[in-house]
Amino acid sequence: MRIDDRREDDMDDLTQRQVEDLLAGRAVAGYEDVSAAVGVLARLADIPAPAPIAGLAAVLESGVAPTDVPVPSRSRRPRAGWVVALAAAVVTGTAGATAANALPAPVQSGVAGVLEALTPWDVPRPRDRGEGADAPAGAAPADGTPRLSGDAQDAVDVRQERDAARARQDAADNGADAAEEEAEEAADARQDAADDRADAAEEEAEEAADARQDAADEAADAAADAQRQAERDAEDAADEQADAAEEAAEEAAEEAVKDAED
Amino acid sequence: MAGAGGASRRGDGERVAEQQLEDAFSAAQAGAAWALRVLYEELAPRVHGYVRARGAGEPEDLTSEVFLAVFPRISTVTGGVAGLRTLLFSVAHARLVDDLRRRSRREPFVPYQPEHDARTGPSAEDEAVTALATADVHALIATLPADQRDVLLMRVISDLTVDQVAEVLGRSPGAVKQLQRRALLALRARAADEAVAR
Repeated sequence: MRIDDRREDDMDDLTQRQVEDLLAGRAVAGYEDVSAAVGVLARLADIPAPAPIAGLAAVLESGVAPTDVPVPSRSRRPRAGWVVALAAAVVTGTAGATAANALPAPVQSGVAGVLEALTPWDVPRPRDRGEGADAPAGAAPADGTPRLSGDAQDAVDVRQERDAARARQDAADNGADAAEEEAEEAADARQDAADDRADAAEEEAEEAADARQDAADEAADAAADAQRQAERDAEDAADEQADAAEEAAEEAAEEAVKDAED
Repeated sequence: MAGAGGASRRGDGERVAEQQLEDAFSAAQAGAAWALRVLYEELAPRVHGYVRARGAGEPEDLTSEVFLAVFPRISTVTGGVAGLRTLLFSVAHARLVDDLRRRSRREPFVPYQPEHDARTGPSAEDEAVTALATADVHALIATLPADQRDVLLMRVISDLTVDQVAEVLGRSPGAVKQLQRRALLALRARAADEAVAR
């Protein structure tokens, strides 16, 4: 356990009510620093709206026509799916072009080697292209169409190779993104489940504490009532005794007067 | 907006009253440009504050892009202004994540520095003190894990309820409650450390 974790556990004494108070900018004893920090954060929204960029300014000026365009959801999964589909399309396209022997010679050779190593397919090599492939640079192909000079063809090949490498890198990056998002989602889900359990346990504990407090309050009330009743009873008894004594004294006084008259 | 969903910071003071905002929302759904302006003026500062506090590269442009993505579809938004808020911050969060991820590949992360922000105001001493305090708070916030930071900023700056934050981030309300609690406890611990260090 890190020091920070232990410290936060030790200070784990915020109720949900206190949390809401702090977030709403109300002071909570012992959390003055936090309250001040929340106040500073809240003021970040107390500024005028920033000037809109040109496109938005036009929308604010002339409005938008009501539309039934569905709002795209911000679900990560569809985005990840799209990325995977794009990556698959790039890979499939590359494989297809390789199978058709349509890539530049160096790329064709490299990709063919990879595909043959990883799949049972027999993929054509540049030398399988026939006389056009083995012809010296600059020579006219068999179909008679004009051909680029050797340097120009090399430049095109290099550019195509670079494009293909970039596409492969993009596909790899996208795949890594998708995997990363999947892992984040899984971690989030696990964390959510743990948090839900903690939240439920906390609410249960708070309810139990409330119930115990209610019971204690009721017991205290009952004891106080009983005390008051006992005091009242004692007062009544004393009053009765005093009253009886008074009556007895009065009777004795009356008898004394009567005796004196007799 | 109390109870399980968490209280809102909104009051009846300077901001457009909630009912007026609802009226503007209805008018905007019917295509009124003035209503879009009202909604932008009212909600953009919170979107901007959130993306700025989270370290967006161009928070002003990002804020515009968020509204530019949402306004053309406003007629399909359900749930009134609350629904619009949720959608706005869903888009803002998604764009922010993309922005941070893109920039992390190209350049080292540069935390928000109020002294470089032209809108931190004139150079009076009071403003400098305020800017310093703001810088301290940003430094504190930057130490929080990203999910705690998101929840805290959305609750405080964006003025979203627990349920709305849960919807925006794709988390459960219980998780959001735990995250905001941990964030506040962590802030307190960090602040105590800072005090000791001083």
